[in-house]
Amino acid sequence: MIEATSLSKQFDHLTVLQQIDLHVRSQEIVVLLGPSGSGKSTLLRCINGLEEPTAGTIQVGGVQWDATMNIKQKKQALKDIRALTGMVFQSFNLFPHMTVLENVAMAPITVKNMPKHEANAVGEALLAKVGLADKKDEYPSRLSGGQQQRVAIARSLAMNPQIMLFDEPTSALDPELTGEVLSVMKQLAAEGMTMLVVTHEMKFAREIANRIIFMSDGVIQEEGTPEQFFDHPKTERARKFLRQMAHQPD
Amino acid sequence: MELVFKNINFLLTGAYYTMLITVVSMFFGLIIGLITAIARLKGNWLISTLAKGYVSIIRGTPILVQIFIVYYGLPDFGITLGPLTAAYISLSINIGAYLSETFRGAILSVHKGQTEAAASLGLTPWQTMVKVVLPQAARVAIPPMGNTFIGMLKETSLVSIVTVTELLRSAQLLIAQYYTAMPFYVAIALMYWLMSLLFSNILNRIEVKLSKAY
Repeated sequence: MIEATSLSKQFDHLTVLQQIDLHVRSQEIVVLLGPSGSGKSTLLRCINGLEEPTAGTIQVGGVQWDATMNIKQKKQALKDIRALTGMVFQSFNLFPHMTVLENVAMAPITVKNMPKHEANAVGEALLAKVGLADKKDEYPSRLSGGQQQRVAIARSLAMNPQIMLFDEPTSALDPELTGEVLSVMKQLAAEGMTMLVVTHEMKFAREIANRIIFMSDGVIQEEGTPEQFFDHPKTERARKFLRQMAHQPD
Repeated sequence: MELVFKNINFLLTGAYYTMLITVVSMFFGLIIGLITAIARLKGNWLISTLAKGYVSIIRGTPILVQIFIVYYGLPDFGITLGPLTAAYISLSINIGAYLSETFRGAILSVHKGQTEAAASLGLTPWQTMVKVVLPQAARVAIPPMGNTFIGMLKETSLVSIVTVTELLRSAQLLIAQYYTAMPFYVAIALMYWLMSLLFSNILNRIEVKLSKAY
């Protein structure tokens, strides 16, 4: 579903990603773990074209993006890739001037030319799915962080993506609000959505992931099943990371 | 004071032209300002440099000189404009430069995450601008725009110099006729003030409406 090969990303002189190879199979849940600054978020953002990789190739659902393509080809590839992927951000990024339902229905109306009543019906169904049907006419500022993030998930789902990318979806939330977002994500996973998740929620990662990828310093240090990674980490870097995370309250 | 009431229709006609010039110049100024702001932010090197030059020249020269160039200068190039047309053009160009700075700041104030969210949903940069960035920028731009608008209302008095019979010139014509200044100047001062109250009231309503989501 996602196939990235020798992906590199440099900001001026800072190398953020070095020769990353990543593949995610259809319906697989892959969780990216690693300390801050390890390049996890950048990797996710490269897949969705929010950052442009310096070198390498990305293939998402049959669409090929290659750093050597010309600008026009890249643009088209990016557009096609974005149509297949949905992205959920740490800071929600809901549109504050639109109601909850407008947030969800806007992209289908604008991008797919879906008739408004149809988009609203899709939107209402998705809001019901994330448990917020009664909030459809509220503005985002009236919602809690957890509710806002659930709306953001519904907004992404409205474009009917085949892959969902989550960039630290619960990091900006109070601890008591993370549960409602994680349970929506679990529900999506159970329905067979392909997911690539960056998170610091270790318990959740262990529970939901089919595979854990551990990154630090812009490279993939190790990967394996949650059991392999959490119980028998192979690298010293990973052991250190897990020790540090163990001290965090959950 | 009877003189004012006796000639009130003449003064009201002047006030009508003041309003007309303000609204027309503001309308075209808004369009010019928006295009210039987007050109500066999104244009390539050439376009953004041109936009920057335009703003710099207009803001760095007196509006009176700009009016004279349009009205007295352009005929040298075979372009002869009526006083009212010259007023519309020079004031629109002037206001556009000031508004472009307001809009540029307002557009920049919209958080980057908004653009990213729109892009990740598949919106084109243009759709993102129209659906996501500009509606949020408008809310930020309204209060400073109100200042520009009220300023414009008063600056229209400058076009009296190129014989547009707006409110100030109406009063001056009456003063020349009756040899008395005070009642007419006080009357038009009052009329300017009432018009600016009207405009700020309208802008306040728009601001309240745009802020209801926040």
